Amino acid sequence: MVRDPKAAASDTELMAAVRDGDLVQLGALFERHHVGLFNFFLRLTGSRQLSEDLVQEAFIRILKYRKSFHPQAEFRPWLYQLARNAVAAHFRKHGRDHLPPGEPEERVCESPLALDELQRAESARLLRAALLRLPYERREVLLLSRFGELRYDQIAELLGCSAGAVKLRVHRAVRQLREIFDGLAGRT
Amino acid sequence: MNCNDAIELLTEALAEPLNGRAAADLAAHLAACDACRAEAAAMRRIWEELERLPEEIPGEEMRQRFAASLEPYLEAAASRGGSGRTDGPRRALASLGAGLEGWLERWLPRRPLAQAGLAAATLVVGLLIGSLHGFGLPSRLGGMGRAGGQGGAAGDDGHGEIHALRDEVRSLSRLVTLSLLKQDSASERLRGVSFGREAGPGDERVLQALLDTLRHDPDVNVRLAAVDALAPALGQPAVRGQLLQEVGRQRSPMVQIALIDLLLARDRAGSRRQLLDLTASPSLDGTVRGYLRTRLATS
Repeated sequence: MVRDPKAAASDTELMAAVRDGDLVQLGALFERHHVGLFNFFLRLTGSRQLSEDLVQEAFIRILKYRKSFHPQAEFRPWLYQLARNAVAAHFRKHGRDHLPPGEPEERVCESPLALDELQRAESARLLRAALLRLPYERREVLLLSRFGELRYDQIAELLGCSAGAVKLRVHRAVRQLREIFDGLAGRT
Repeated sequence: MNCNDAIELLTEALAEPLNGRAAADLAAHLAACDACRAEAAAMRRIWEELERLPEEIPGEEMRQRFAASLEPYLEAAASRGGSGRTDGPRRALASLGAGLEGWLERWLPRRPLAQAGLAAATLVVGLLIGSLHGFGLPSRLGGMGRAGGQGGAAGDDGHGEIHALRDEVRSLSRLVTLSLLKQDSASERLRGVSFGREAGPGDERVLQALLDTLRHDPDVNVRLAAVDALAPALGQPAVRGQLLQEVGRQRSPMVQIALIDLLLARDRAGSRRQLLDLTASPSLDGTVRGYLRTRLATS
């Protein structure tokens, strides 16, 4: 039988159990979050292989640092903190030069698409490319706010700045992304 | 409120609902300021473009790598005299990941094509050996074990071996399916769906991979094939629920209509109510709505 995702404990409850030694509960957290985390890394780096490695690294960090999780805290900001640390460690070791220069790796669709599907696919391709052309810091804050399901105050805590500064960065990122996206789409 | 305040509230409103007072102040400012109104529309447009960005699915081997990486921690916890919390079915699942598939993963960690090729080759060799020894095809293995005329301990051993061989074949079929489903080539993924169909409705991981394929594969033909492959599992409430959700979620009318046909043909009583509700959904494609109404009226 396929698992019913609704019949489950909260993330915080699962992580509290992991913290207390019930390590198999990490499997449930993995099932819930690995796709979202993979997409966060993929949009951040443009590399599928690196993103898969970073998801692995992030979950290893959860295991290593499980004792630092506070059962009263929310899980998601803590997860993204570890995710950012995994990326930072990778960049310290390997630099950023090996990342795809503004063109994401993507799966090729071989069969013909309907016109509207073709337009959506093209729009998505341009948006991914535009994201990768954003400066890294702006890309990161935009991804955290748009896809991380984090509040601005939580992002502020992650980045070590004020919520107001986060809003300003998000606005600048959105504006620059729009300019790049429209430029790629030939709208400017 | 000046324009800087308005921009901050606009940005805040993208991710979080504004409270009543802030929303009213922003609305008043936007009504009076052309520049901020244009900025608001432009921000909303790119934010919604981001919302439509399809989610990518990682390779299935990532789950296997995770299971393999978790295993040493579980072993360490057990050897420290940990509680029985690491035992039981979930432990078995973790061990499975560190077993056959984990072994392959360690040898071929980043070569899914090679993995699929090796698995397929091993499957063929296994079947060949099985047929040379008179075991027959996998679907007949259990029956032959029971009626093979081998009595006593030898018969029991043969029965155990047959079961082990059958499990191995299933495991390899699953591995081939999961490897093929994440290939870049749509034709390879179609083959993966075919393998998945052969695995039958009892393999949870294959079933989940087929559902993921239906939900996320960019190729409409692969998604259509996944609908067919999931038909035998329609009796499972969770699968039926997800297929019903996909009728409204899919963007291709062809896939939506295939799902409607499947649900009404195999599960008319169980699905009719929810499909009827779906006809009132404003987001449903007009052609699909018309088709659904006709089918509901005539079935």
